[in-house]
Amino acid sequence: MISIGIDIGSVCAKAAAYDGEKMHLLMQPTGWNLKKTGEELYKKILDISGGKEKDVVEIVGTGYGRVSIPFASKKITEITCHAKGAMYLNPKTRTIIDVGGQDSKVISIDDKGNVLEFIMNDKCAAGTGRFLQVMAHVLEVEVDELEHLAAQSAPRDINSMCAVFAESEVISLLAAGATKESIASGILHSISNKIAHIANRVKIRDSVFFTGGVSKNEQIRSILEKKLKCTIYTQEEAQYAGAIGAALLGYDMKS
Amino acid sequence: MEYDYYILFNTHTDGLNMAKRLKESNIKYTITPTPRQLSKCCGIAIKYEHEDEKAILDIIDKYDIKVLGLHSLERKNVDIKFI
Amino acid sequence: MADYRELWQKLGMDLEKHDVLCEVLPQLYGGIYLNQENRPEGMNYYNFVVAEVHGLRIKELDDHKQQGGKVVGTFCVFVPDELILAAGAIGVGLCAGSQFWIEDGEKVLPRNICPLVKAFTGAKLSGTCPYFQSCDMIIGETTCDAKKKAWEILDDYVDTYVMDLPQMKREKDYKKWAEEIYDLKDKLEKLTGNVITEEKLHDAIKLCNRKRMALQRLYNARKALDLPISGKDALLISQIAFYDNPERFIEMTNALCDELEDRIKKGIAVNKKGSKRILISGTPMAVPNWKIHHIIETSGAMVVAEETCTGTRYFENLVDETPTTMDGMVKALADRYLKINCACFTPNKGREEDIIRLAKEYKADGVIYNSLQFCHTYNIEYANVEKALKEAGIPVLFIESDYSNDDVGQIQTRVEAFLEMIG
Ligand code: SF4
Ligand code: SF4
Repeated sequence: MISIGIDIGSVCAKAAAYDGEKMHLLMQPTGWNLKKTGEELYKKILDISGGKEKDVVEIVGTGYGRVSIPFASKKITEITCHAKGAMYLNPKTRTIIDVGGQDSKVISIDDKGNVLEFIMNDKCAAGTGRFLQVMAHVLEVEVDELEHLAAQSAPRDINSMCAVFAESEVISLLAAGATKESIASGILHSISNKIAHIANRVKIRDSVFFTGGVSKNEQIRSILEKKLKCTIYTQEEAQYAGAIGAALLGYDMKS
Repeated sequence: MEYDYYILFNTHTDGLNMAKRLKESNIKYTITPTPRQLSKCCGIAIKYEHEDEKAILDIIDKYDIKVLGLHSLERKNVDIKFI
Repeated sequence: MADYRELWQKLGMDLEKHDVLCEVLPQLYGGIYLNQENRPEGMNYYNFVVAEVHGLRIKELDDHKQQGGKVVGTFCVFVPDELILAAGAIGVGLCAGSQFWIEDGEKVLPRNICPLVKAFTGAKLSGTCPYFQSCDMIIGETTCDAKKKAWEILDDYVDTYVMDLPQMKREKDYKKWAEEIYDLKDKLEKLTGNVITEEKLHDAIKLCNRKRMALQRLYNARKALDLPISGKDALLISQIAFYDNPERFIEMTNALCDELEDRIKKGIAVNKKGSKRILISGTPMAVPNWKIHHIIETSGAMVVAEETCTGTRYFENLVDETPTTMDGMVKALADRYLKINCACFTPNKGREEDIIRLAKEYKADGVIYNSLQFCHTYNIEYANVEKALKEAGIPVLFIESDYSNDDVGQIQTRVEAFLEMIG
């Protein structure tokens, strides 16, 4: 018996396969054809798990692209899936801060991984991976380079949280001769501010688990720790929380 | 391909008259805004089931209801866009 | 299809722009309303009203004007319809629930204010709302800052009269509101040339009460566990109540209620077994703002009531019909209207109590608090409402949104997650 979770995010698509014992994971860029990406992931993860089509009891789609997985037997929002997935990765988790490509959310959960409360950013890009993308583009660097750059300098203030205004702010800072390093640092502080702002609207309880693509950024994690005055954990598989949760929820439904 | 069927009218009074007769005869119908593909004006149309067409023609005859005609329109799944 | 273009032209409308609106509305309505399964037959009347929304009703207003009658526009449920009717005028609640008008509104207003205010201003400026164009006068009120200042701008385009609404509910505020009602009476008498007699006012009070009772009956039917009507349909009916001919509206709504009550007896339902019941609370939803209801009802839940101005705030509490003197009736009006719990008031504990009471009466599984973007009073008031609901053990989700399509996906996710959470 295998349950498969597919999490189609705006930047990365993730898959998890769970057979009651082992959790297999896979990730690839989302691309523009969500349907094709979903199908590919399904085939590959099934391969990796060593299972057969007939063993698959449930395919759960999640993430913003969940509506584009026609072969999914269930669709569950990324919020519910993240809660389950984070619990699996770290059973002490009570608060999840998830920052993905185009949204960020903070989820408060109980000791069984049920959602108690959640906050999601509104339609603006502030506080999401998209913000980093836009800013990296202005600095003419890759998103991954921001962290390294930022580590070497104190931050310049970037006051606007809105990506559109922040973009022009960065352009004028560059024109005024500010270094890329100081701006990169300012950018990481700015996004952390916005995330903290969202996080402050729910009651933050230990342990706090940082997930989503942006959780790879060590600096943002440590800035957030200072701002929220708590310890924030993350781990290699944090990006897979949604897919893992989807696979688990599917498995639970059948057993 | 699936179709939707509409009766169009000159005035809303004719439309309401028709609706009344359909109701009396227990024929299922829906009053709808006239689909744009069928007309340029705002106004009412009546949507009906194809199987009732014969009975509807009889009613039109019997009560001498003025209609602009019976039309069919291919059913399309339109994405809803809030305006 | 009668041709209304001549009429629209006479009203000074921008026909070309208006065509664009006429183009998209039937499609939107079709997609949202006509695809629902198992709708009550009585909804045919409201389909008819929507189909003729810029036609027949406008013609009726025009006929009334031809005979020397006046048309008066209002924007808030605090403005007493009774006086307008007693003066022999027709009142229309001006709808402003479309993104279509925002751009024109932003020509004169800042971007960061409530879409409702931008939309009604844009509707007037662009000359694309035949109701607005039919108005001889509009009655504004000093509720929120956005509206208060927008009247000054609108006054350049249409005669705008403003009522000064108190923002507290002390004894002296009730007195003051009664005075404001008297002032409006004078103004309407001047506008129409008709005297508002005690008899006419009493008749109008009875008429408006009958309209409220019809809506109360409709909402009562929504308390049934097997819902005889969808939330979307009920919302539409409340919206239509603002501009339809009152007598006809009462008759048709009561006829629909007969059908709904019969459905309840027979167990005919529009909802699936076990679907979650949601109470909406927050800012008004003007035509054609059906966004939140549509998202909720296509996510497997049902809206069972609206604690909004296009919901319970419009029809709860009747005006006392016992007084027959002018003073007595004006006081009865002031008393009824000032009971409305709008976020413009401080303090506003009554609203928290209303929401909790309604959640219980309608057996809601959760509340979705919906505030228009940049509506400060409702946005801020959420904090206390949330606290009160949590204490009462009622789950609540906050959504701030405007009329646009951009955030539909986001809201969908949030609503679905909320339903999963309370599931
Ligand atoms: S929300 Fe308040 S100000 Fe707005 S229409 Fe309702 S009562 Fe009037
Ligand atoms: S929704 Fe809020 S901001 Fe908009 S008009 Fe009503 S009270 Fe004012």
